[in-house]
Amino acid sequence: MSTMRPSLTAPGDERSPWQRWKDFWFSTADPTTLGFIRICTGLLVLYIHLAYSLDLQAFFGKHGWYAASFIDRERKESPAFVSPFWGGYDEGRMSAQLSDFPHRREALMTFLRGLPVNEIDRAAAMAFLNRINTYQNPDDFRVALVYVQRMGSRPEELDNNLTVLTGGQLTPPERTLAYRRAIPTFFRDLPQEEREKIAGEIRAFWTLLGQIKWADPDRDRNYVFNHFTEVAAESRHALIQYIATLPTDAAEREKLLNYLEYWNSDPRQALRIGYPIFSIWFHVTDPTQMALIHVGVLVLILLFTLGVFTRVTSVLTWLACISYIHRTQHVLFGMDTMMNILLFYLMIGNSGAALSVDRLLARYRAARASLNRSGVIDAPTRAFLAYPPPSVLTNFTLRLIQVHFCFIYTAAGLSKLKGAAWWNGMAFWDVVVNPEFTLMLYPWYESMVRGLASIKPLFYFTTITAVWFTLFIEIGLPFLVWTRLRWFVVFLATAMHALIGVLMGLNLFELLMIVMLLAFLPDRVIRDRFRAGPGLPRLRFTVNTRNPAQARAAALVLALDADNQIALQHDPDVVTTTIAVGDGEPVTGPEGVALLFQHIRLLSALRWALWIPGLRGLLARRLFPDRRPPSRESLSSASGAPRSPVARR
Amino acid sequence: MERDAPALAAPRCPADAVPPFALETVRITGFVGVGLTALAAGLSGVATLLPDSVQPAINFARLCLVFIGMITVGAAISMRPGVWWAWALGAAAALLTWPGLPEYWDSFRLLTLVLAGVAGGGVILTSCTPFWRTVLVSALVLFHFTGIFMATTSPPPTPWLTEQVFRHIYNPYLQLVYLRNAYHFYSPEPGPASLLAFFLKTEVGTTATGEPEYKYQWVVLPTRPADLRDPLGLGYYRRLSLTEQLARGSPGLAVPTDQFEKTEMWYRRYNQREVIPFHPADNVNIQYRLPNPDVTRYLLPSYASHVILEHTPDKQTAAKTTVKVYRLEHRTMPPDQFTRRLADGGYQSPYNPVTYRPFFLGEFDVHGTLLNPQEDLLYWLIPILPADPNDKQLNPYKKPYLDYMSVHALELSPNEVLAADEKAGRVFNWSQLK
Repeated sequence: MSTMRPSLTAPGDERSPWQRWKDFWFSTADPTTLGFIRICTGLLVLYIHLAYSLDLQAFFGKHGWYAASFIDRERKESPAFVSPFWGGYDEGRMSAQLSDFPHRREALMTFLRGLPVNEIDRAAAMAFLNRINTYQNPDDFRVALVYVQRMGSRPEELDNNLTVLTGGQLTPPERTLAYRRAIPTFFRDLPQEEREKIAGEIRAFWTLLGQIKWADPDRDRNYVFNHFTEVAAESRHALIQYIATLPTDAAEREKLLNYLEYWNSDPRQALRIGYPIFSIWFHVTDPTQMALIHVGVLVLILLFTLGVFTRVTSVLTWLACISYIHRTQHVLFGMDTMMNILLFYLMIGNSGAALSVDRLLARYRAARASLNRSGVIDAPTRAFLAYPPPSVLTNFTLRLIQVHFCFIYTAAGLSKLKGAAWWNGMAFWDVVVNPEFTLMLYPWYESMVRGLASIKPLFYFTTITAVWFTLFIEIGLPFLVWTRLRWFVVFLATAMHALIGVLMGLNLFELLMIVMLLAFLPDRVIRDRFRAGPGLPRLRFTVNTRNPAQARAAALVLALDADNQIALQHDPDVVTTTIAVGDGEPVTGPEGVALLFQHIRLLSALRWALWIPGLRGLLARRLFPDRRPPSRESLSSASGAPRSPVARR
Repeated sequence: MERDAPALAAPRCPADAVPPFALETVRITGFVGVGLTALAAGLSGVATLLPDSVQPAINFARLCLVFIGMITVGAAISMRPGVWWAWALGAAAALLTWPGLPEYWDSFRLLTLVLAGVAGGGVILTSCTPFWRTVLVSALVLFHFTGIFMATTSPPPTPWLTEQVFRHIYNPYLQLVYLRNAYHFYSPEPGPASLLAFFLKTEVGTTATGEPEYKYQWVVLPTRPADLRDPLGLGYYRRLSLTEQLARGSPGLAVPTDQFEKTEMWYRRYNQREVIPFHPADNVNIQYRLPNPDVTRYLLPSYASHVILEHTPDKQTAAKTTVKVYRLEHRTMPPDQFTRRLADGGYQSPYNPVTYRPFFLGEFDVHGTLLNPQEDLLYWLIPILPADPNDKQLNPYKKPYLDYMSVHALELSPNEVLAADEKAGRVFNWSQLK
């Protein structure tokens, strides 16, 4: 990171916590590291989305693995519940629930749809259930319901049971005794009047059950009774409450019932309905349109990778990528999570400030402004051209990536401690020998693993060391990375991800993790890797900086000269700009263009572009404006007479 | 027009070397963007007066205007991100985008409200003094990482504090930006991988005796090398993710709910034991895996529908096709089994069919409807058991395993399956899994 900030762990640090906080988050940092992260991320994201091209319809199409109709319903209707904020400690979420088994749920839905629409009639029909639902002892509810359930076994059973319940007699008297024994004690002990009331309620309930059009009356009625009997008390209360509060409006009622049938919950009890997600693939399902949009996304990612209008393309790239993510989360795995984290934070920071086309454009604008202003490249502009200036936003973004990475590792490491396999080493074995992920289909790999497992001490040493190493890295890195051991733990983490990538084939996932680790590297590491050595050729660009066209040409050349190989030489008499290598002959026009592409390091990588018809001529006109065929006199004066160089260094 | 502001004074530091964009340029760009989104909003009002036949063209025009307008105003903000009114123009454009979008683009209407909020935040931050900007950004950082922390503690058993704060406050935000992952990778155990085997049965006519005639096809997800479509095999791993979704479930017999159904279901399964035995190596409680409700509610129906549509040439054929879905849980071999020599001197291959545990997940039609929710083996393990490869009469292809999954799918006898040639395509071809 920037050398301008004090060390986080310097002894005798007397900064206040607020100052330390500000120094951590709001210092400056070289944008080169962030630019490199942008390029690496962009390349990986480009590959990931190129791979989507082969499965665009299968993953995101209307009839894909997760069809559009299902995701539409899920994102609009899926309920989110939360346990009550106040209330008892044992109170969970209270929402009406049915059986998850389709045949049983069908019976319950038939029951619910068969309930009287009118609230008073419904209350009368459900009076018995409402009564026993108030019993504090859940066993009493079950006993009472089973008692009533048995009355439906034969048509005369209901009359017989209710006759005995209300104190009547059957013939012979032994039958009365048998029926009386079946009455729950808490009913038997009630006064006559109350028992008659209960009998009326039971009869009303059975009348309701008789009026409903069941697919199989005996079976389906029993499903309803079974459900009320075995469901937990809170859920039963909620279901009975649901029944009591069903709206009388037919459309509203049907909407609620449909929701319960599909989602097995009451939307009125939900904290939230639906997901706040967006995706272009929710709304575009035509295959041709999808293909065109997909190509557009690929171009966008490429522009982001190259750093073209990065402030806009970074946001668009994230919006585009998250469209794929939200459409079909079932094809995602950890790789997509890391990709999203990187794109999200790169969107916040100005990741195009270095190693980007934006940087080239900025160099051009800075050089042009300086030449327009004073005819020379002034010191601040020179410094700007030498290195991208450190910025607060860059540091802020790198810190976001670092801190988030620490959260990932802490959660991943600590959660593993829940599993016995991560204590006894078998987790490593399960990973290494997983046939779907590893190279197990290759005989050499199978033999190698078998050889390892055949030597018991070696097997245990390897597996236990591997899991200890994993746990050490994942739990230790979030702490050690802020100390002098940063290099060590970053190296170990990189090695771990490389090994996982090779062993399990999750190469893109691990590469993205390694890209995130780049955020921990000091500023100069990346920057110096891109800095060319001293052996680059030096060039001389002669220009009349007072000529606007020539000044623009000079600015353009300086912009492309990322390694500062060119020295500007001001000559008020030159008709057009010229370029020369060292003390060599100055050239202009297409020859000058060729020379630039040959010797300037950035341009030499793009030499193939000169094969594009017209490009060389276009560049010649821009870089060497007002060009006439050079005369002997102008060439000899350019090489011999003393000039006033425009100092750059 | 000169886009850069005239820079008459020398810059004080390298960061100032690049002249800022002229405010006039930013203003014009911003207003163009707002104008385009306003035009889209205006078209929405006009669209209601126009006939239905032109609605698609109007909607397309609205989408284009909104898209170009938002990018334009975004470009204006990017030119001078420190100017508060650029963000204000962004907020205005985002709000105008809401009516500008066709109504069925509801998810993007949500996005525009979010963008308007972000732009509003930009107005506040750029209007503040540096001190308050630092304070506000710090507060946002704390808010953000508190949410990340809550997400990591959200898997069960969820602390009450996480449940309340996460569900009430953070879930919508983290869900929108897809940052709700708990990062519990391979936790608590790495777990076995799963494959899916789909058995498609299409009615193609009737036999001479009047019986329906069927065509059969097995489809496996994923397979190598067919699903290794890109150099790094990403398509293969994505398909493995699809299969993992169906692995979410519980040993249903051990879960103390729906006991009445489980009692009936147990007897249905028990009555089939002579035809398809229980697996001798596993406890019966874990041979029944009840999928999570979301799996049965929409994943399985969607997968089934997709497979039928993908493997039938037209709608009529699809309507006559059903699919049985099996999840093949591929257990990893313990080291002692992996290193144990067999009688023939070799070792058991990790791809030996007996290492797979197929669970039957139901038979579906093209609409994703579960045809028989009371099927005897629904959600039960169907065993692949060792067989004698040396019985030439019963086992001409010397298979060392007896594939009850094919017995169940094809409703054949075990001997018929044992004697069948897997390469013919009717019984499941286990060699394709390596």
